[in-house]
Amino acid sequence: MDQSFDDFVHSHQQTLVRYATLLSGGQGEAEDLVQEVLIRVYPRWDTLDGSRYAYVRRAVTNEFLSWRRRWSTRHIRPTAEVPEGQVELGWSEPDERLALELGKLPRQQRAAVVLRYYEDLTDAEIASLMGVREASVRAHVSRGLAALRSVLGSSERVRGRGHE
Amino acid sequence: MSDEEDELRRMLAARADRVHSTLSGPAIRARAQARRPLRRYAPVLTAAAVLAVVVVSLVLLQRGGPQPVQLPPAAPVTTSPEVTSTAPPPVLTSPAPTTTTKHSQVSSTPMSTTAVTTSSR
Repeated sequence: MDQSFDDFVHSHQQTLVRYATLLSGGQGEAEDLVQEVLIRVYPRWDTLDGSRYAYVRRAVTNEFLSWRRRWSTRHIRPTAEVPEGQVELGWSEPDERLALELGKLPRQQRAAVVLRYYEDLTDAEIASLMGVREASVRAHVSRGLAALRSVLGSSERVRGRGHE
Repeated sequence: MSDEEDELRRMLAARADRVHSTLSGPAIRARAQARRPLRRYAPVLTAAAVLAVVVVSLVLLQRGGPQPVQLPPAAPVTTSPEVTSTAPPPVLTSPAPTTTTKHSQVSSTPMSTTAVTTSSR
């Protein structure tokens, strides 16, 4: 059991923390999120059926969306509150702007967008994972994409400038 | 629309590729082991606490609340009939000096003894 668990952490921790970073906005909080989930999953590791990665990813998503984590991290998320005038992101850091805009999305929308465009899940898979209807997933993804459109446009401009 | 989605995919992947985590299986297992006893007994402790609260509540409900303590009034309460009733004021029929002082008793006794002695001569 221990060897299996260690192998899983060694193989998947990078992918899980990257996914959690896109959800939470920061690597520290993402590592905390993944570690908390793995600590909780470990005692029943041998009883898990099916894809363990899918199970842990679902647990990470639920933990991210849970009221408990929202309450506990309410006061330690200053990155989204940084005034834009003092941030020197510029056109050369569109992914930083993406992170900023992602952080402004409601959590359900953010999770749906990341699952759709980073994990490449279908609407049905996202609906099953988040415990909502497919129509809700489509609405979340559509609204999230609309909110991120300004960032995507700026990225296109950067690429255009790079080609000139 | 498809270009935007492809662009978003590329940007999310680029953002994620910057992350390099350092979680280790043994460290997570050690934390899970340390947390295990508390987690194992938490349901039992919670159930015991709830049971205790229920039992205490039932006992208190059966007994009722504590009896109110009747304290004597700090000062004599005057229920003046002049204020509360329309009846005429009570008439005093008995003489007021119902109690005799010691001085009057002493003064009356020698007079009687004096009278007795004069009569014997």
